Amino acid sequence: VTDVKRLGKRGSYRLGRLRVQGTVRAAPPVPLRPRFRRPEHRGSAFGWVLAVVAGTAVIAGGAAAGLWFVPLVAGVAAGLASRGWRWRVVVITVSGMALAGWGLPLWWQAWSGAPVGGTARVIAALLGLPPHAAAGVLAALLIAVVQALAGLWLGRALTARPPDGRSGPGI
Amino acid sequence: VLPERHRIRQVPRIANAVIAAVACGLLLIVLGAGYGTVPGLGPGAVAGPVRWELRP
Repeated sequence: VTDVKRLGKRGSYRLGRLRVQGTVRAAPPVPLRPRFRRPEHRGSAFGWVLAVVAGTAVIAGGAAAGLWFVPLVAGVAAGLASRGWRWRVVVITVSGMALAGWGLPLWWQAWSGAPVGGTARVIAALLGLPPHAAAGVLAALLIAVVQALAGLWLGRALTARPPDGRSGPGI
Repeated sequence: VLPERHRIRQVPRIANAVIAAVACGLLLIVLGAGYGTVPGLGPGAVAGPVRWELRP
């Protein structure tokens, strides 16, 4: 009722809103200051580089052995191990691992004279792509990357920390 | 945090893990055995021990 009586009176409004009597004036808004999160990953940079090289070698070894699902397994492992790293960094790194892991054996076979182009053209045709060797090679590498990213998604989902409101998404 | 609220906040996390697991399973099935008109390209797309060739 008292608020109704104050309508239209001088001093009743503050920034367009009705002033509330008997309460402490709200503190002025705190200016937004950018905060930079400290990296939460453990281990030295050299150790992580070594892990990336080892992961690439495992994917390449699996490819050379004909184990086509190794990128997915490596992606899961990377997702489990990469807690604390930014999502963007992990996605780029794992994609690079998959590309190198499947690309190096192909490059080695092509360099040693194996007829890689013919198989690449058949794969491209099977996928409905133009029957060019480059399209087939790109499709094969894309299969590796998709597998690795799917595995990474699973690994990160399994290790996601419960939302407590104290930390951001880490993107 | 109340246990009930904590449980509710866990739901998206668990759903994300379940969806990711299903997606990985489907990807393995499609790449390994194929689905419909899509051939199982997993074994054929990998370089292989000796030479890159399409294997069943």
